[in-house]
Amino acid sequence: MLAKIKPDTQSFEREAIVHLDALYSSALRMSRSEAEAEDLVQETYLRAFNSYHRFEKGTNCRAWLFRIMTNIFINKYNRNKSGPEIVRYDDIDDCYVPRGPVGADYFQNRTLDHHWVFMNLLDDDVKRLLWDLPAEFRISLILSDIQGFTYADVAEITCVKIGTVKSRLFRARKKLQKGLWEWAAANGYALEAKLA
Amino acid sequence: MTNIVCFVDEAELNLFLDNELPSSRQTALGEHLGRCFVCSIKYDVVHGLKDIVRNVGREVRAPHALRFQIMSQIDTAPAGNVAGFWETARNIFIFRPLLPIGIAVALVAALFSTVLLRPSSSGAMKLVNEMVHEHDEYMAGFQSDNGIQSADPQEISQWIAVNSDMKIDLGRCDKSPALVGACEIEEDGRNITGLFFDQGEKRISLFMLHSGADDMPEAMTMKVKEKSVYFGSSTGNNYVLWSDSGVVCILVSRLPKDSLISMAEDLI
Repeated sequence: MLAKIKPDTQSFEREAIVHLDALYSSALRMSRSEAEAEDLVQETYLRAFNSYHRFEKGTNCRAWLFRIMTNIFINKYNRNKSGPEIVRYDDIDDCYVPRGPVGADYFQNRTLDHHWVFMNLLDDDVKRLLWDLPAEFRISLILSDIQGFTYADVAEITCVKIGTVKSRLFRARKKLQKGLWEWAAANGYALEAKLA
Repeated sequence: MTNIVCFVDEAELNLFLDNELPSSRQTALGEHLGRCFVCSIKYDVVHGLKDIVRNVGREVRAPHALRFQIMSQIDTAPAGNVAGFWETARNIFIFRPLLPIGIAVALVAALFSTVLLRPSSSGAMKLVNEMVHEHDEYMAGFQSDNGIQSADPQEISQWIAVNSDMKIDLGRCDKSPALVGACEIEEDGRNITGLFFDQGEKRISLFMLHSGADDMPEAMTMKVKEKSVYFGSSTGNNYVLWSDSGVVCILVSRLPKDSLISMAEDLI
């Protein structure tokens, strides 16, 4: 016969519930709707509560919660997909920042352009651009840029090597840049954006 | 046109941005960025991009209803299996012939587990208090925005009669003297239903149901601790709960009715 012991609610509230806003704001960016984000956060907390006795006090509770949430999201995401998501490197390799030698005047014009474009972006535009990223890239970006986790934390949360995190973040930002530039061109902010 | 060539790897600029380079390289690249126009522009772009991602929806806070829902579910969650105590106790009886010591250990541990198993509602209560406090502030703002001088139910009723399109048949809720009025309010471009409750001592509460008044079914009456408690719901997702004394008013989202009843038992 096994003893049934309920975790200490007050301790859980002190340690875990304080991260609710952070989890919810990230869930909103991971998911496509508020209802989906709420379900994700709710399931995260219930799962965390049920395994709270296994959580080592004094360690990073926030990272632990994000790990649970990321796992739930990825599992659901993979379940809903018909097949594995294929990221074509060609899709993200080109970017408006050129690799070869260019004239200084090119960058002078560009400086004004990108600040102006950035200022005119709306939250919804950014969310849409984020959503266009493959899920693994998006999650790495959310954990690093929004939640401020280190690469080591992101690697632990997403159960991959640090090298993979570096690669995902780099490629996510490239793809985001490309999307941003396309958005700018489509909205008339940077008509000369197309690179030769 | 002057051609500028710089061979700093863009991937390395990303690492610099995230402060993930070894400290000596971090310092060296920082100095380089101060000198190199090409790299500083590239860095500006990735930095700006990171700022955009970081700032999107920065002020997002979890809805109160979600917080409440999580705390309620945790409060009412069944205990999980933790292997250890009873197995250990059984082993003592089977493998150790020292029965008196085994029994003493089992008794102490049983007492301990009883304390641990005692349900806690402090989390839910704390959230209710937070919601009430936030609501009071909202109500004060509502009165001030609409030029309502006092919290007198009569004045509120007059305001409703003049300023709103009454759609709820109050006769439906005549079992609840705490409910003194209802109205349709436009907020953030949406029509929402407001219910006014007399909380006593000239204190009025306003709770909002985010759906049309037509969706609101008959109020349900339930007995909790021999007191009448009324549940109103809109589209089956949101509930408002009140009692004759007018002290229990909760708006929650997607909570099962059983959880509402157990919450009412805690609150009344």
